[in-house]
Amino acid sequence: MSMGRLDSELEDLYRRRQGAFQVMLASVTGNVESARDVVQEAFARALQKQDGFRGDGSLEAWVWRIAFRVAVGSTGSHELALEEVPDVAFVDEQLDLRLTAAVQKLPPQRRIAIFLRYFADLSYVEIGEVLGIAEGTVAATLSKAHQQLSAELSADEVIA
Amino acid sequence: MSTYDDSLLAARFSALAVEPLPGDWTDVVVRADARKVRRPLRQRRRRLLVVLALVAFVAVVTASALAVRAFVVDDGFIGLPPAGATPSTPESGELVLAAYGIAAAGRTKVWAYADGRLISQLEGNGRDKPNPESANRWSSGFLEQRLTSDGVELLRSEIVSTDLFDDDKELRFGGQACLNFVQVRNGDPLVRVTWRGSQCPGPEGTLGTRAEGTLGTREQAKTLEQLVERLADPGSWLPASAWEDREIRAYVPARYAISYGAVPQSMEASGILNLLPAPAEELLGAKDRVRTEGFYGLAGQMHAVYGYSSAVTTEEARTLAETLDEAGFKRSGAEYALAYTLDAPGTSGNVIDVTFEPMLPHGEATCSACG
Repeated sequence: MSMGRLDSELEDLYRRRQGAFQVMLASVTGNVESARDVVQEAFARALQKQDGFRGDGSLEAWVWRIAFRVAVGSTGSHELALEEVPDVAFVDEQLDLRLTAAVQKLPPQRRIAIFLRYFADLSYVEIGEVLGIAEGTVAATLSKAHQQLSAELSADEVIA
Repeated sequence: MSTYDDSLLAARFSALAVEPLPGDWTDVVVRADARKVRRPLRQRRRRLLVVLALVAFVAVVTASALAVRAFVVDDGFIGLPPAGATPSTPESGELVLAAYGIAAAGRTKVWAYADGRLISQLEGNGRDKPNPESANRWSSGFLEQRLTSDGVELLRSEIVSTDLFDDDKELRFGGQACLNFVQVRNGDPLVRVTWRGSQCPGPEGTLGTRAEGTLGTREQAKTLEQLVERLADPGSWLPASAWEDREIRAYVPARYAISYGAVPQSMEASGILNLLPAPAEELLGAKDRVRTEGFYGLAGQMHAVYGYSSAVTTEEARTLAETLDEAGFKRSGAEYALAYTLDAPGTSGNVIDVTFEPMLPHGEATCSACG
């Protein structure tokens, strides 16, 4: 059913990126099945509320914010509030215990920024749009996360 | 990063990524349709093209122009002011100009009065506040500054000098938002130029009809865009002498417009008031009310709706809000305005909404959530 001006853009985004959404959101929900449900619901909300997209950021970042709100069960605001930034963790932590331990030591904002970077493959600009912070802040946050992870992981590993 | 580079960390993350399940776009569309049925109010707020926009009231002059602002609210707010906040004075004012348009910073609404008050409401982009005094990242709330009489005249002249305001005009341009206007005192009464995007639905809200108005020229569109830009940020070009007090503070209204209605099926005022808690029914039932009209629904499927609006004092508005809170009404749209919803009992998906909007000095209230 045709619903609005962004139908085709949202469908295209879904077809290109729903896998990345699932991968990232599984780190919020704990498993891929519920992550898939969140993705479905998030895109449904985006379709339904597409007039809420003002076009001053990327459509994908807007959908990410909706998706996180769905994932954390928030219903109040259409925008992701800072306190709603979800906690993230690897679904199967046993696969890489050292990385898991290092990531767990990151402050929440550094942790979600680095997950968005590697699981969602978002640019600094897009991460900033999702988290509501400036691109420069994203760069600084990721830099600090890298430094912290490097310190944690290289303490007992030798990487060429 | 001394040891781990970006690609190495990416590879380690990649090894921990889950395998995504197949997607199903049809399921997304079905969910969206289902939500559309059970969430009519939100749909209205986000998709609606026209909603009970400007409501006029007769303002009552009660405050003294010499009143002292005992409790000034520094930052914008959404909904009701802090208890005890001193209302802006005088309570009523003669409107000299108003603008409603899209500036680079976002949707901008500006009102200037003969007494020097400059009131504005700016929409944010959801990431950053429109300005430091804003209520939140989505809306500045209503803000107030004070111009000198010369400053008001400079603003007025800026509009009149475009030579577009000799008489009322309805223009349409490609690629514009669906509703923009500037009105200015250029004789009596105010002259208003309205412009709309050519792609916007017509006055009946239906596809296939076109926005009303004469097709404007590119030059006119550019002039109006530049005008809105300057009105959105007068601090960037008005001389220091134009300001009596350029410090931005919250506009604290003395009165609120309480708008109430039902969607998708309109209801008579008595039917809606019967659904409110007794104190709210009694308060609103005793007030004069005006009927407001608009359109509801998705583009191509719109139908006419109506609602009601009454003016109350700020303290009455506070009492009303407390009553609705205690009765368990759900708050909605908190980023832009204080509003409540209630599923209308005995109906299929009909929703009652009650919205609180500050009344401006010239006796009108705007629709903060309409964008």
